[in-house]
Amino acid sequence: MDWATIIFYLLAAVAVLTAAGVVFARNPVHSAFALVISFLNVAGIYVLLGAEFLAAVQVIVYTGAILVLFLFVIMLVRPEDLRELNTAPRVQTALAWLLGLALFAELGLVIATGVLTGARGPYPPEEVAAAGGNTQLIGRILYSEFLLPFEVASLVLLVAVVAAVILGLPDRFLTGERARGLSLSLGHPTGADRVLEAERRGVPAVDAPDLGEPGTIDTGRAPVGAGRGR
Amino acid sequence: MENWLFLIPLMPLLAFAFDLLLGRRFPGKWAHAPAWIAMAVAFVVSLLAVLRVARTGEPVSQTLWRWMPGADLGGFDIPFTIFIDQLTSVMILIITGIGFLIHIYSAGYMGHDPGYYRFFAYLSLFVFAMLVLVLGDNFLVMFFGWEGVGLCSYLLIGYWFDRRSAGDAAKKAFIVNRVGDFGFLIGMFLLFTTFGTLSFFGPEGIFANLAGKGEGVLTAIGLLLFVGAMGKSAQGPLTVWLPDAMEGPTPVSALIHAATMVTAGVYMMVRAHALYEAAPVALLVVLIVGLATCFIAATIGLVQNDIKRVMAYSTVSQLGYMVFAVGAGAFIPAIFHLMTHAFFKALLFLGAGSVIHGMHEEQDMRKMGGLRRSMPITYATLVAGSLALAGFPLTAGFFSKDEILVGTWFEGYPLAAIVGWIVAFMTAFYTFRMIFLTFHGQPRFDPEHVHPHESPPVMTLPLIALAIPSLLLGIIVGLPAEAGPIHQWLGPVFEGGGGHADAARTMAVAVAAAEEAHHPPAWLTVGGFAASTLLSLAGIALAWLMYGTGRISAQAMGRRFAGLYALFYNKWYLDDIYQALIVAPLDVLARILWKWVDAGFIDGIVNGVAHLTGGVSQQLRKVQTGVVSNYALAIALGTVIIVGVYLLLGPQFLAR
Amino acid sequence: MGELTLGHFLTLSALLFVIGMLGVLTRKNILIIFMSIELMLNAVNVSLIAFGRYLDSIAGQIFAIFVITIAAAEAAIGLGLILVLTRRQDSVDVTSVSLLKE
Repeated sequence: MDWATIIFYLLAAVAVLTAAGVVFARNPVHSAFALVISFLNVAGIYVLLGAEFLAAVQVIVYTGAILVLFLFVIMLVRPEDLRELNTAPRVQTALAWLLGLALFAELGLVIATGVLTGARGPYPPEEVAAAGGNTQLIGRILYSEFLLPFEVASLVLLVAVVAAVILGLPDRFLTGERARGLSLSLGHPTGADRVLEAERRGVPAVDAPDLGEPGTIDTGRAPVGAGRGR
Repeated sequence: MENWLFLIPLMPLLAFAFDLLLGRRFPGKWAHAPAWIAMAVAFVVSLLAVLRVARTGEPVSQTLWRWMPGADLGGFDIPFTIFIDQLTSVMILIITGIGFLIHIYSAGYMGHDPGYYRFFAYLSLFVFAMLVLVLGDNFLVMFFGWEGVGLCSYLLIGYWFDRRSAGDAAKKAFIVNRVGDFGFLIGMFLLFTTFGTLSFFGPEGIFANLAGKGEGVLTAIGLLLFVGAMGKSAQGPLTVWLPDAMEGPTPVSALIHAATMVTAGVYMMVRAHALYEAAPVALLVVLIVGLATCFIAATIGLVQNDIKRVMAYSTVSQLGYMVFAVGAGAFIPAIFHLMTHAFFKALLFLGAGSVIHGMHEEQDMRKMGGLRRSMPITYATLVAGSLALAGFPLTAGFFSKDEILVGTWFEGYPLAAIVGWIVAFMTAFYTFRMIFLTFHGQPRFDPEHVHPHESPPVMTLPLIALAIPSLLLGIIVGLPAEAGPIHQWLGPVFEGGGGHADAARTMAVAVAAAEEAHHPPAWLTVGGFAASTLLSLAGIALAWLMYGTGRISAQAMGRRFAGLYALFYNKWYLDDIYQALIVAPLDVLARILWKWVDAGFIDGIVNGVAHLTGGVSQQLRKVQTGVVSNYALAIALGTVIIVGVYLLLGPQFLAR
Repeated sequence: MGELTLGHFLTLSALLFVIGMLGVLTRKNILIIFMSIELMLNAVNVSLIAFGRYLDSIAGQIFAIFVITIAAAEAAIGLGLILVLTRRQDSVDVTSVSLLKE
């Protein structure tokens, strides 16, 4: 057993264990930290596979950006809303386990039978080295062969940015006619429209929570909806 | 010149589109303006085309496009060609000329109608279809127009669709015409399988290739086409729709059901004269049917009380004249009568419309009388038209009818000619019965409520314009008898020489030979004149005695011939026969199909499927929980199944 | 690399994927579900890169880059949605949201 194999088993074991931690931890914050560790280990796996650039991207984007975003959201959501939720109904859980095991068995079969092969590509390790390394090669290919998908991906990101901004807008920007176009539930009787309808009639909407002053986080406030027959 | 022949049918079509699409938006009532302009332009272009035909003696034509010209379609090549020869000339001048006058008249007559623009749209569409019918140079284009005029006839008879009788009459006309059109269609199929083409002329055309075809098949074609003509021209058993068609507005009756559309059958048979001459049996049938219709319609006309129905039956009767003239082989007199009839019958209808208009929509002659003082222009023009219809000497109708009768006699059917003269006597009688009942004697309406008045100039001017040719056309084109200008004009069509270079060459020899000797002896001509004159005057005199002075009691006559009166009054029980033989059994059949087949069987299937779907859906909707996790579970299940399927079949798939 | 084969990496990928899937299916906390989805995406990346490595192709890594891009976009929108949801619902429980039923 050479070092690479040993390292692989180490990384893989930690990645799988922490992944299990993500899924089974009671506290979402613990889950998030387990996810960070899992991602870091997967980044190590990438290095083993000779994908140094992706390993770096994995660390920067996932652990650096996405995970921090997760933690932010966890902080923003009021703690009482984060109270531990029991897992899904028993039938659902049992079925999920059944399906998970079945899928793993099937995938194992696929891997064991070795049917997953394909034609060899033009970039064995020597070629990669000749091109100046992994990062240079990815750059060259990405901006030549995959230029169009790359540009499309940039559009997807742009849309995501706009969507995130709209979703994050405080509700006071979402009143009036403009809200109709931005509402989460277009023409739906529940959701923002019902709130607006109630506002127009000057009565509190039955299900509309009191959101407090827009833009503030009122941690001392009682759980909204409590005692309203919900 | 030939490049703008297409304007003739196009202008009314444009007017139709314009009126139908924009007519409702016109401020005020000027939906007639586009129609008037279109008709005027079409008339002028037609006139120019006819002048050209007159100058050169050759037909003019313009091919617009060819439909399905591929050789792999078995030679099914339909050129949309506008073709104008001497025969077409007569028709397009009648259609556009009389059509123009009737359009003018309609602006007055329909002035108070809320559907003003719709009326003019339909009327223009009709003129378009009628022009296509006569301008086409093959049977298919003719059939296109043929169906088009049928549609417009339906639309216009049912113009006042909120009146049940109008709707029923429209449906009746449409359905009866369908029967005829079916015959026409089968005839066309037979023509195509026999000749491989539907074109009239040219070396490949039908009329140039009649020789060598079996007389049996030609007879069959001729009879089938005549079935179509029977429908359109209301002949024989298919006559029943035309009297009911009077439910439409009066200008419609004048244009469609007197002057133009109903003559389409006559036109078609004259156009196909070469074919008919090669099928003498078919011609004989045409003669008999025409004669019978002519006689029966005249007898019914004797006893009608509705002013428009008198006109309707006289139209059927006059069409019978034309048809039996065709059947006798007297084609030129048939067209001559078609032309004069178009003028004086349009005049009569418009005059009747003027009377109805002035009498506040009253159509029953028994409630009129003495109107000549209150509507002098209508009276004068109606008398002119009636004189022409009655065949009063030297009027237009006199010459054309006389030519038909003499021609029929001369072609070898003296018996038919004698029946024709009897009908002429009846025609004169019922025409002037109408005049005397309507305009003479004492008023039989309530002067307190009804104030008859003369119609506005927009209505009377067309009447005057039509009265002049009704009186004088015969002298202009009919003299000398059997050799007048109309004969010289139409001669080329039937000689096959100058007119159509190749048309009916084989038949033409025989026809031309016949034409050479086609001048009846002097005794027949003079005798015909004398008989026509005497019978016409006798009819008018009898009408005067019975309805003008009351010297002979009409009631007494009715009682003496009670059986005949009942027969005539009930229209020879034609409608009742149809009711018993066709409508009632169909009704029973429809009821069975409805109650059992439709409501029981088909609805059962439909409702069963609906119930099944609904029930299954009721169960399936439970799956839709709205909880995302459950949906994700379904996705996972799908994934497992797909991977499983891949495992079982995958390698083999990849190997393939 | 020696004894390391494609199978090793694919097995790791499959394990991670199934664990993520279990998370998605068994948890009700939408935050955890999101993390599990990220886990599944990562598992896919592992197999993509492994295939690219063992088949001498760079396309696997390119695909992985696109997957990461989509994952980032998804995270941004998804977390935004979670925020709005908690503002309206005071809960991160997915089973309490059943608007899809209506």
